[in-house]
Amino acid sequence: MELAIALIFAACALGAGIAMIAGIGPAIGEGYAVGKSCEIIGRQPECKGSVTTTMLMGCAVAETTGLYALVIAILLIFVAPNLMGNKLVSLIRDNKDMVKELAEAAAKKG
Amino acid sequence: MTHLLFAEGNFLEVISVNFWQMIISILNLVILYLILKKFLFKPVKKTLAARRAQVDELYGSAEAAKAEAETAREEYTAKLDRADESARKIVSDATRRANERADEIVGGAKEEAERLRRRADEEIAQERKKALNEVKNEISDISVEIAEKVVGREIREEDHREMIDEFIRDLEDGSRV
Amino acid sequence: MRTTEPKKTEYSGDAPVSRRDRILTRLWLVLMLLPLFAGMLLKLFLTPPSEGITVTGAQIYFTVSLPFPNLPAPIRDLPITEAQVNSVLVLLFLFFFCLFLTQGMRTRGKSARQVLAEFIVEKVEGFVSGTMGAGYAGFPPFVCAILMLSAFSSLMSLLGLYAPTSDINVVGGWAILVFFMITHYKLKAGFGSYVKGFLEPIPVLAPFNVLSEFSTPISMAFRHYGNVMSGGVIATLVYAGLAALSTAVFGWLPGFLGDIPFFQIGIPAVLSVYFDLFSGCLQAFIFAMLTMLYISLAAPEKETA
Repeated sequence: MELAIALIFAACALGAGIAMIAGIGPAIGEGYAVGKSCEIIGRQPECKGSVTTTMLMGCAVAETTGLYALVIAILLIFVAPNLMGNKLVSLIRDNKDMVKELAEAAAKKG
Repeated sequence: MTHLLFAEGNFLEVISVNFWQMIISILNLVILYLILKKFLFKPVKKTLAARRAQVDELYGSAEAAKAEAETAREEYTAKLDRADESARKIVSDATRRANERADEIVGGAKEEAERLRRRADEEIAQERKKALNEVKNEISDISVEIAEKVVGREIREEDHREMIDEFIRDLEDGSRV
Repeated sequence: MRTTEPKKTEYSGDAPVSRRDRILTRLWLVLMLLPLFAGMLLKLFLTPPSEGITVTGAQIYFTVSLPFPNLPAPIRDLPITEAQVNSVLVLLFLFFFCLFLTQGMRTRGKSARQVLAEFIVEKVEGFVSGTMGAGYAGFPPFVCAILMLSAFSSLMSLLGLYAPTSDINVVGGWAILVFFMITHYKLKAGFGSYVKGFLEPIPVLAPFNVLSEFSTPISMAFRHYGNVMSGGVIATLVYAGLAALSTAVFGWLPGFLGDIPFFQIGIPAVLSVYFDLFSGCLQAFIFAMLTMLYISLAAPEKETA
């Protein structure tokens, strides 16, 4: 059973790490947007305020997919083990006799 | 480092969806909308409208006062012009009348003088005639007396009247020449 | 020449501030700050002591069991959590804030509070008419409600309280309300054109259109919630890390001095400037702006006479 719990924790951690690969997208996009806006400010310094506001708003909207990934990662790290662990525990509690049989069979084999 | 407590003290999961809590949060938003509408937007809009009405009123009264001032000024200017004109008219009337009167008086005086002169002339002619008649009589009397003396008899006036008149007529013709 | 005096309305600026106004202003100010202190006291006394840190959701204070016996447990229970309590506290704060700002307003001789109130109202109205165009006269209070609730809920984490917007239920509720409003405005143009809108480019794309329709509120909610919640999570993690760091560096100090987490003073404040102030306010602004954009896009074209 420790193996099962360990497997759950490991899978969740791995999944969280892979999910955060999606953080590349918003970073590249927003960096490009900021670069473009700097270029425009360099060309026309008087529109600095308006360009900055628009850029920030655009960045906040483009951040969305990165946030989807973050939310899934947080779910995996903090919520899933709890849920999975509870489910496993309740599963074992409900099928106590089957688990006992399996354990005896395993002990008999090895 | 981070202990994942299967927590004591009751906690919700990090992400847990609960139906009634959503309803409560929607109710919160609606309540806040009503609060803001009644307690923030309505009083502020009322004050803004009152201020705008006050400003409009001030502008309106300023415009009205300006229009009033314009009409009053026009009125007074017109009055002044009319007063000037009537004053001038009065003065010119008086002058004209004075001139007419003077002419009248002078004309009357001239006429009077003319009349007097004519009367004087007539009187002079009359006096001259009278004097001439007197002289005629005198002469006739004197001539009668002279003739009486010359002739030595009494002359009757009527006989000699013709002779005397002829004589005076000769005198007049001679004097007229 | 006649001169007319301006009529003295009730908002004349020549009258001094009446005593009633002054007393009421101070009363609203005190009542405004009361919920915040109450929240802080609640958090201080009701948080159970814990070893290490936990990253969890809101703390449940008590659970109200609604009298619907036939429904399954998740729908029957109503947990009263920190999020709800803090939401109510924010509501009370904003209510007394409104009363505080509009106490004793006058047409001339403004006070600073009145300047702030007029600034808020005029800015929001300009915002709404700039984004949505004319003809949405009922919207400024709604947009202002979203903005203020969002911003002040996120800013509560500056006081150490649990921000209600860190809870998906709160933000999800707002997003669902906005979704219903968008659908309502789309249906105003007629039910037939609403359905036809889904078959727009090619009828085969209908499921994707439906999906994108549903993804609108989900994306709005997750954007807002994700930013605020991740800020909270990172703050907790940073706190724990700094506590461990200060224990490692200063652990040799005798007695209780070794337990004081020195590094926790000041450094998290810098982080909270970005996560709480900037991120919270920006996300509130974007949530409101997207609401206005979607609604103005969904409403039928106004016929110009």
